Amino acid sequence: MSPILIHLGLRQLSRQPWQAGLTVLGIALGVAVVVAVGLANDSARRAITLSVEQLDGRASHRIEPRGAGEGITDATAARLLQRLGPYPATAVIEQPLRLEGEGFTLLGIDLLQADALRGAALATTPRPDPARLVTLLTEPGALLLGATDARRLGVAPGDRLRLRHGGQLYQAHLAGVLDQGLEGIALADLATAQTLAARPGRVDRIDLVLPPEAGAEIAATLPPELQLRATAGRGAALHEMTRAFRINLLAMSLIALLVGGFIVYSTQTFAVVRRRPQLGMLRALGATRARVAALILVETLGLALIGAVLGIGLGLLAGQGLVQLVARTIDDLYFRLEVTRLALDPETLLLGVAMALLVALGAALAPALEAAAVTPREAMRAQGLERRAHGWAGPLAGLGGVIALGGWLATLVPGTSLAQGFALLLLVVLGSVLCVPALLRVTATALAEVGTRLAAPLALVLAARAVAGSVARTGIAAAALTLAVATSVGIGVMIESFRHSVIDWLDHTLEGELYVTTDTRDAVLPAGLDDALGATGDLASVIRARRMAVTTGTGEATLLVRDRPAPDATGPMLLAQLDGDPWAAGRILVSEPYAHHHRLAPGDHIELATPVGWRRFNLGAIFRDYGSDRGLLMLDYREAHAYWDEIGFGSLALSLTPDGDPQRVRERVRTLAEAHDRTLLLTASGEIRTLTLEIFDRTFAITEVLRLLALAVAFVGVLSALLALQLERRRTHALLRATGMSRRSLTLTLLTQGSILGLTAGLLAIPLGLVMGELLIRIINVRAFGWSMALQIPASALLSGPLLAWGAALFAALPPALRAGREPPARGLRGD
Amino acid sequence: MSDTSPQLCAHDLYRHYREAGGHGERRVLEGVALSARAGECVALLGRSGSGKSTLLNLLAGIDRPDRGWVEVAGTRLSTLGEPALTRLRRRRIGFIYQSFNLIDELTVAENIALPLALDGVRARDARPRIAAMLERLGLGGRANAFPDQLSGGEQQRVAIGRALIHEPALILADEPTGNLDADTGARVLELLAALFREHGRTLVLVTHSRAVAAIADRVLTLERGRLRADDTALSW
Ligand SMILES: Nc1ncnc2c1ncn2[C@@H]1O[C@H](COP(=O)(O)OP(=O)(O)OP(=O)(O)O)[C@@H](O)[C@H]1O
Ligand SMILES: [Mg+2]
Repeated sequence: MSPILIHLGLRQLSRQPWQAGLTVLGIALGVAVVVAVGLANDSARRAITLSVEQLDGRASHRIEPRGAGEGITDATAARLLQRLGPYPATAVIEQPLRLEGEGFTLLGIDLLQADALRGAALATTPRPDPARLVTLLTEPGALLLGATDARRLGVAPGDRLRLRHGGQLYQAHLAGVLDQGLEGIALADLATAQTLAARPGRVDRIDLVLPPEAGAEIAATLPPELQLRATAGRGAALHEMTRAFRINLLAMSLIALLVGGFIVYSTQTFAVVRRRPQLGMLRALGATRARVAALILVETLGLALIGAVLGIGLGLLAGQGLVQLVARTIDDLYFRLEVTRLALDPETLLLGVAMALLVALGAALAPALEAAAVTPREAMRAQGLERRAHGWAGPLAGLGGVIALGGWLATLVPGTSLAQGFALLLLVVLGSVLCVPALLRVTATALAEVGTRLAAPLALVLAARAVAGSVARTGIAAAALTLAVATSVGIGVMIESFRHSVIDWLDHTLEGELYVTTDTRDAVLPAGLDDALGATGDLASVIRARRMAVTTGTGEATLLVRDRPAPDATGPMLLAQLDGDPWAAGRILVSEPYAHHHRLAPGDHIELATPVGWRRFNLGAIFRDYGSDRGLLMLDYREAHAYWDEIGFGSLALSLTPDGDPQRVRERVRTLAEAHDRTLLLTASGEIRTLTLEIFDRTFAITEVLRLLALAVAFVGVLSALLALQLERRRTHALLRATGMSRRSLTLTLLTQGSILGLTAGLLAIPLGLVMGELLIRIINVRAFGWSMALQIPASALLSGPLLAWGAALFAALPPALRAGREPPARGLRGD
Repeated sequence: MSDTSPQLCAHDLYRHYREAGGHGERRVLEGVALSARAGECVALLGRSGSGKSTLLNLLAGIDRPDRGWVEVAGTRLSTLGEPALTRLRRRRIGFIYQSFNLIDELTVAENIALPLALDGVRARDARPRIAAMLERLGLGGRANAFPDQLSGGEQQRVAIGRALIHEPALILADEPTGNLDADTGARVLELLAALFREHGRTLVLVTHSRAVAAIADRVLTLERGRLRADDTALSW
């Protein structure tokens, strides 16, 4: 690029700073969203890896109970450890709790084995001699914290620490600070941890380091109720669990970038229109077409780079808040997650910037070609572009229609790939959006026609004609707005449908009015509690349930063993079932995601490893379950008793008789809790329902943020288009003012222009939004999570779509409208 | 309104522009005085850059002078606020520029009707006047055409129609034929002159061409910021 051309470009940019500014802003916003989401995702993923590594240490395997039972007794553990002799091994206690008010995991291990299992993790400050370290750590209540955590909590060795879990307060003290590693973990010696976790005489599991070939031999020597598992898969499973969620976020962030592309297109097209005479001159002076096109591309690339850099900064800022939202969602939906450190993979950054440049270049291609097509004798006005726009809007709509329809038809072909689902969604959306310019022109033309017939105010007719006459600009802005609003409507429809289905599901699933559970996860309730409660006349039924980890023929799964529902109760929502009783002997029920992931249908077989060996079950029914996206198996309690002798129950669902008194039940539970010296939690189904919906709403808070961001980007797009239009039409506006149009009428005309654009985009966004919502439900959610839901169309989303678009467009029309009104006609007539 | 009272009166007009870059001033008009009676046509000559368009803008109430005043049909423009000035423009003034006079989104008929529409004249009442004007302009068959479908000469005829439809007290034309070939220009000018005579108001016509100036009752030349009577025109 010759220096003169660069100089020319820079001069022109500095004369139109807002135009360059909008291009930069469009890209910056798009990149910011991608980076912010990337930051949130990467930080969450890093935190998952970190917490898994900390909890598992270097252990390659773990020995744990096979589903039922409360951990491993000390005696069994001691016997096992003795037999494991040559291999480093330790018994482990893991207990989530609050330490000084913050979420931590208490990890109890045999500290003498710790070095082998956890490497250098135990270098502490102060650094006592090894003998004293042991005494120090085996003192009652002695804990170790990571240096970062200790600093954040403001505690030093010797300080008291307050621990709380299960409504109980425990006293401990900080024995030392670990120089490195451990975040969110309080490390203690096994005995100390047993006391603090209130689980005397038992450990959760045994961690050990085994050479690969030793696995089978060890597994063979285990008692039947225990199993050996490789830990390597744990992190992977957690990543897998949250992957779909993260992909969803990424896809949404790319939409924001796409909208940014529209802005680049519209501002750069405008730049070309403005420079038409100069470009014509350059061509006359001998610049080749390629060179003129390169001029535009290089300029766009330069602006996009600036935008990308700004966007990264903006994204890092916005990401801080987003990280907490994502972490909280993962925390709510999957497992305890505390993100204390932000992480951003270089790949994410590169992806964002590369996508931004690609989108910008793609968007600038049309204007660059347009510039190259300028003939040396080109006239002064924007007519070339508009004339061509009249030519292309129709065929573009045709092409878009074909793409959209093709994409939609392709969704009817069964498939499982999430990426393919998103690709089809994108085709449908992009194809539809391509139809917007032509539709806008048709609408505006019709409006002008009707307005003329009915002798409507001049402002309306003028505005409608102006919109129709400049679809190259207004059409593209409307397309961007339609895209953003349709996304908003589509996601609104999806969330509303989801919410309705969740409520529906809760109403079915919460079979009792009251639930009895314990404070610790996976713990069992005292035996006999069911009978003791059932004996009172207040209860119509008591349903026992116990969740356990099981091994199936295809991998690990969660099995819910429960009493079948009472004959007159609704029970789980069955989506598909075999003839006859799905709870009959030999039959098992699976949740929808499980059936989806394993491609199972009623009548298929599932093998389960039970203490009495492998057993084959017939899939009796598929039930709706939004509780887990990995899936759940369900087995009748009585049937399960045939294989597991000691099942216990982790929760009891109590239904009251018509004249049953919940207060009496409450009293009874309290008495029983005291008698067993256990904390029993009694929760009303209403509370569970409320809590679940709270978590639901929190999960989707992040989508809300992204919706708003996409809308903000679209707003900038409309603003840029309308500003361009106003500049382009300065002379016309000056003529109108000179002929005697008042400032107010002119301002009103431009606001009407914005309104026509916004309302048309908003109305077009409704059908597109509904299609998006339907695809999100039918394709994306099913493929990502295995959840189906009934389509629910909220009136609010339908109404808010056009209103939002109108509001955005009107707001965007305000600056150019005021500017046009303020401009002295004499200046506009001179045309500088 | 008597024929001898001035329809247009400008007194001691000054207009300076700030130079690009902010320093210094470009003094364009320095004490221009002008008056014209009803029915009179004044031609304005002057070199390019001498300030003819600037003066016309001041006369039309599109721009305001730094000093001095303008009266149109007895109303002093400087006493009017922006809304009243706008109203005056659409009732009392018609203007024609060298090119790009028309609103691209409006048809020929609508362009001509524009001053009436802006003034709230009902379409029903305006229609016969528009039709008559179209006939007079020789554009009877093109009422529903859009400006970009017209030739340059036709466009200027539409502009003339728009400048005259509301029978303004003052018509200002800034090189109305400057962009047309000689033949077309002559015919457009003939039309303007004829219509102006029929409607009998005041016309100020900026031109570079002495031939054009020939239709005027009086020829003035703008030079170094001031107007002076053009003797050469008188000697013809
Ligand atoms: N808005 C403005 N800002 C700065 N200078 C201006 C402005 N408008 C006009 N000028 C200057 O004032 C002078 C007179 O301009 P004007 O357009 O009135 O000339 P003109 O006599 O109409 O010329 P032409 O015959 O070429 O149309 C010119 O030198 C011009 O550069
Ligand atoms: Mg001029």
